[in-house]
Amino acid sequence: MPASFNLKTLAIAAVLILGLLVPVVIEDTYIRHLFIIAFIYAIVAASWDLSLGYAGVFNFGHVAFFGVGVYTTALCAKLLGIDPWIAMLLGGAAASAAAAIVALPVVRLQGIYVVLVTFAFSQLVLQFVISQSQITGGTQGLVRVPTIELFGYNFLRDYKFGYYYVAFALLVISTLCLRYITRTDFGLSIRALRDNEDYSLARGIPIGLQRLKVLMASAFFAGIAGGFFAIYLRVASPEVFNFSTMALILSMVLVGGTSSIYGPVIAALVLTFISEGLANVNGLSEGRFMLVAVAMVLVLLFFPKGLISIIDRWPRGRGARRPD
Amino acid sequence: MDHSTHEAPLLEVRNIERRFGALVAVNDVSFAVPAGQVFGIAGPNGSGKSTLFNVMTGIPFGPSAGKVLLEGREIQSLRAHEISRAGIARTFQKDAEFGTLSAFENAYAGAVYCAGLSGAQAREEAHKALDDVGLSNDRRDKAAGDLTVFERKQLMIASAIAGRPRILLLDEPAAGLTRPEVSDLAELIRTVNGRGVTILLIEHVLPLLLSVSQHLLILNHGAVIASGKPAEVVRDPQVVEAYLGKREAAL
Repeated sequence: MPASFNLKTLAIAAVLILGLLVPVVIEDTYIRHLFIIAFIYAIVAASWDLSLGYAGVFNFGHVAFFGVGVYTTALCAKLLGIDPWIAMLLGGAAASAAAAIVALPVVRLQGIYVVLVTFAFSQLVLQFVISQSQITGGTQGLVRVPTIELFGYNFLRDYKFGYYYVAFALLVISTLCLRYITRTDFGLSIRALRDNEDYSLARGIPIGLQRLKVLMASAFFAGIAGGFFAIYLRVASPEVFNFSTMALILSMVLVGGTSSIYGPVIAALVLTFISEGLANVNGLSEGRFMLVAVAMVLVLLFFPKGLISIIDRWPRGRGARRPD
Repeated sequence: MDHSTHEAPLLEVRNIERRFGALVAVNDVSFAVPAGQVFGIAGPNGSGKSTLFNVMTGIPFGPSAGKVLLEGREIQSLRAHEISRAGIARTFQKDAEFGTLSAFENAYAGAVYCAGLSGAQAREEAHKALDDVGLSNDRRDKAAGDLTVFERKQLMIASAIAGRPRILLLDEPAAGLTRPEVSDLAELIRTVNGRGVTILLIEHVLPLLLSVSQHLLILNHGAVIASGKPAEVVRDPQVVEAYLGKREAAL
């Protein structure tokens, strides 16, 4: 068995065990809350990496897909009385459906035009949410969204102990799914079309269809994360469509390293904790954004391929990376 | 041109035209390619050679008028990736690879999406194609963008034949190669042709074109000015004037 295989398996096992132990060791509600928020952002950032990093689709509507998940889940759970667990799934489905609509023009466009269309889409969703205030609560948002229960366990108890594990499980499952997708033939084809569109067509890859599929898949995970966000915070507010939310999550993708899935997950944790940690330092509650921005510039200057490239530079064991 | 052959040609192009506004880039071009042939296409710069490949494959655009038939079946209205899957594999003058994918993955993509193979079969086909073009084993997990110019030429042919095409369209494959590499390329083209793949070859390097082609077609200003046996075509006065004349004068 190659040494790197052992190392990698060990590292993943260690991270999983640590992740499971966190709420046992840390009883502070606020720290647990930060972990939960970081996990949610990690799902959004990693799923964004699928369409942006792997497929090279300049999808700037990803946070809107997250928002679609937030509102769909909140509305389904609160107004329609659907079980919040099911409502979360519906959030993912609605985000996928929204992605299919966005994909219609996007599959025929390139570069900056994709940015424009997807960005316009996110503004459109925001305007729709604000204008339909009798249903969505407008700028006030929706409050008192019903929360989840499992075999009679009330998640509002135990200082977010239960929520932590739900968020952690969602992150693990979505990361496994995303990694799996990138390793399939489909994953290969989206990297191929990112590298060279015309050449992809010449090798029989249906680029329109692959773009549609990748946008729908990537939106699904963002939608589920949005659904859990609404269930956990028990609110759905139009702030999720803010440019600052998008900038924050996009920086997680870029600082973490595109085309890696793990990179954005790591960056989501690091950036959430640094940003929140600095907020508690006296006099830095506003200035922290500047510090974080400077840190991002430095990371991207020295590690243009993101934080994940630091790990990739570690020497690999003998026999690593055998060709198939 | 001889239309009297009884056996249907593998590929037939009928009165193909491509217009860009007032400009006619390909003007009423017709020809037929029998199975198994290496069919050379030459012409001065801007004569419409690459545009001809573009309209035949639909990448990035199809013809304004005319028909393309593969084994008697019209394919000009298929979508570009369907034309590739139908059995027409093409290469491009530049960037004919997926740069961040490994050499193996490049060939594997062809086996999966063109030939419709999967799993072990696709891997086997990819390795076989790489064997055929002679890309050494220790280079196969390198990113395609990191290969040498000649290795990338090998790879673009490997990824095409991994898709089990009926016909391979090579667009100036000798561009950027040294003289010994050009003769290696000629050998490679013969090898691929020897395995039953019909080849359409656009080339500026005349010795290569003449040494491998059984038929030669010359384009000028988007129209066919000569078509026939290579040795005869290069002596055609119209061809000498339009294309070779300038070369020879320069020499």
